[in-house]
Amino acid sequence: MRLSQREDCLEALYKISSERNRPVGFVELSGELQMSDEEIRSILDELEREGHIARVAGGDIMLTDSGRQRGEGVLRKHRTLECFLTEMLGMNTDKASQEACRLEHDVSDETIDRLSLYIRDSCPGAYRWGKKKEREPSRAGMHSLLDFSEGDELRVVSMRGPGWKRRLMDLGIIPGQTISLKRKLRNQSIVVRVKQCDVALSPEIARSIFVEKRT
Amino acid sequence: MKVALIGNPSVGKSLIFNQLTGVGVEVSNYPGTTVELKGGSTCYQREMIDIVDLPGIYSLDGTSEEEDLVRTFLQEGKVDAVIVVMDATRLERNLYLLLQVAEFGIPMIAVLNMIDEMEKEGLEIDTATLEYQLGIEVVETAASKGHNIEKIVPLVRSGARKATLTIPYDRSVEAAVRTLEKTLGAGRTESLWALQGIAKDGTVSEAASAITEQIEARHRMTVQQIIAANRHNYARTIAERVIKTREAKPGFDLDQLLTSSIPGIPILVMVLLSTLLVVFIVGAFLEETIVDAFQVMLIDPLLAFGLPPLAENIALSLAIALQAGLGIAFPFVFIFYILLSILEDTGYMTRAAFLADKAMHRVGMHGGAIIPLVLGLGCNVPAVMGLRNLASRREKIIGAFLITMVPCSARTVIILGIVAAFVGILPALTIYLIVFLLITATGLLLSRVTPGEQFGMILEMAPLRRPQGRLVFKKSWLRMKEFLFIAMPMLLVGSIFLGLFEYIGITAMFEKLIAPFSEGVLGVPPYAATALLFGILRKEMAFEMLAILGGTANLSAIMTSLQLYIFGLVSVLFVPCVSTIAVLLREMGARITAAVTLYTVGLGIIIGALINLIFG
Repeated sequence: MRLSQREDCLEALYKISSERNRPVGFVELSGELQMSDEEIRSILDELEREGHIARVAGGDIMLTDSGRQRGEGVLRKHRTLECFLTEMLGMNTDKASQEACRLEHDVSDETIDRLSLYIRDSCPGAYRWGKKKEREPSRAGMHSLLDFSEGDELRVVSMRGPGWKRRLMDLGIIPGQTISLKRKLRNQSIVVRVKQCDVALSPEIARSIFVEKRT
Repeated sequence: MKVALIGNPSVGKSLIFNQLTGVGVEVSNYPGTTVELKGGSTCYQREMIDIVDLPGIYSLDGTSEEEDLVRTFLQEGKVDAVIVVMDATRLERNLYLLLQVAEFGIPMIAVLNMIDEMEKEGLEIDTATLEYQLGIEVVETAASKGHNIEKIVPLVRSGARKATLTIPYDRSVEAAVRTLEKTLGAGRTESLWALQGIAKDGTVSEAASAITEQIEARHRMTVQQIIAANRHNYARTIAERVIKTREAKPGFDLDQLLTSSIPGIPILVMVLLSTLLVVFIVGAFLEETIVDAFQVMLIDPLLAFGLPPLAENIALSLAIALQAGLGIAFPFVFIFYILLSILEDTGYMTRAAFLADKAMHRVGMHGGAIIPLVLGLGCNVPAVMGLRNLASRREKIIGAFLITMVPCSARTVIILGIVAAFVGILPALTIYLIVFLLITATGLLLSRVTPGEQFGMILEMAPLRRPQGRLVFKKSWLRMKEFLFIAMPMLLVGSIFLGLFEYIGITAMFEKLIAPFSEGVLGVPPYAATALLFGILRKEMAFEMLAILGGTANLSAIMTSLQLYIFGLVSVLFVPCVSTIAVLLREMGARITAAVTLYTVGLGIIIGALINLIFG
């Protein structure tokens, strides 16, 4: 019964127990789920019968190996989907999280594998020699710094990649900042002017900074 | 009283430090010159004031080695006051760091440096308003001209106080700070560190990490990003209040030329080639003059004097050591350092880094790595230390290999003093070409086999400045001193021992042993192999010892052109000198050091043997 609810439950158990590293109390679990206590109890019974969880003394819940595996799988799907929806499609976090909650139960492992590969490939830090990948310059209506030409006055919209680079942040390249593209070589190394300073960027860094023309 | 100088890279901290303390610290116009804490002191009204020159940083919350060093230094509360040095032409970005320093609650003053350049750019800063906004004293200086530097120490002595500013953070951050203050009694600054994951206190960090997660889930931004954005905004607000722009004369934009592919890249090649040629032409002229003078004034009279054999052996070794050291090495090294200093002070290095970025990607690094490589032309030791600026272990390993292959000024002495002087300029340039090709090949190879990630370049372009003769000379002299007071004594002591060994007969014995190898494989006389070994101590000693062992500074009299060429090439390639090995050990560990050493020894011998085989 209710596959999605069972998966939600395992996901929550996995999340809590891996954060705290101990068995999970019922109250902690119910705080994490949007279900009634009776519903949760019946799902827990079911999971226990299937051997995904075990109860320890005091009624706390522990994941078995199979439960841990299932829970981890669902959480990974959730995170990958959420990351894709926010980072790549620019959806807002709440909406993306809800959406991911629904999608995570139907999506196949293969889709998730390919999706996370796609996200990782788009991350600027992972440039490796010999694996030249010329990606299409714009995606989902967003333009990276490389799509503009010398002399353009721009505003930073967003930056892609898991946690953008601290140095960029400290140099003032943050969303909302106006910058001008001062130099762009044919090999796509660029210089931008930000806060009266010139900053040189490698192509793979420039590619991860999304900008729009200042009006 | 103990004070520290803090500020962005290239704002003139080290220059101010030198003027305040009289201690010689290297000053350069690119990031990463000061990699360690340097201390000095000055006396003011009969009180000792200790001054620490901190490395240039962009932020106190970052994770780079320098940022970590400076943050820890401030956290430990070892200073009574800090002097924040700012570049007046880049006020807004510099204020960002000042705001972070202010949060430490250490008494401080601000130095608004480069006021002369600011005026040239048509900017005007209302210092009184700035003082009011920050709540601290501000002094305007122009360090390159020594303007107002004398006001800094009195001001920090009497006027340093805690800044009164409070940065308005995002509501959620402020709420989190309040929670941490209430529940754990943590201070505002400590709470902010904790939220960014850099606090020292374990319990606060733990409590903060839970809150951090909530904030991040709600904002789609990390707490660091929110805090950085708030600080930038506040810095902008202040900057907008104090900066007045006048109509600036649109000057000639030199950068337009230097950073375009054409003519930027031809200019880059020209700069490097002409540096070598100038060193050769001027150096050769000086060399000839000095060597001749020594011959006439010292060596000939010595031989005519007729000392007893042992004394004559030792005295002759000493005289030739002096002749080779001062006459040959000194002119080349000094001129090279002067040119390198000019290049550094103009800010051209960061332009070179930008132009070379793509090419450097091919050898597994990014444009920023060109700076340590060019520095390596002067001396490999600071260049290896400059590797710290590279982000990943992979880049550092590749960098370590390539830098130790870069011909440093000592090796330039060998190339120019032996090959160019006795064989010809073109053969000398072919040595550079061979080394360059080997470096490229090594880079291509290493970039394929070295594991790890590669990061892109994010490099602030240093402002273009006209180098000042006095500063250039001072810096070259500072580096030269190392040569005169460390290398020369070493050379003299070495030469005495050589004289002794020669007298006793040890030299002859050793040469008999090594003869099959040196003559058979490299095709050079056995004493040349002995000289090569001295190159491990200091590279140019290989050359000087060759002169001593051969008994004359006129090398073409004792070896053929091919022998000189092979000797030059092998000593350029093989084994980093002991100082480089030591710094490699410290920075990279024993395994990488051993690998680099073995690789260069192997390479030197193989290439030398090949040349001997083909042309011999």
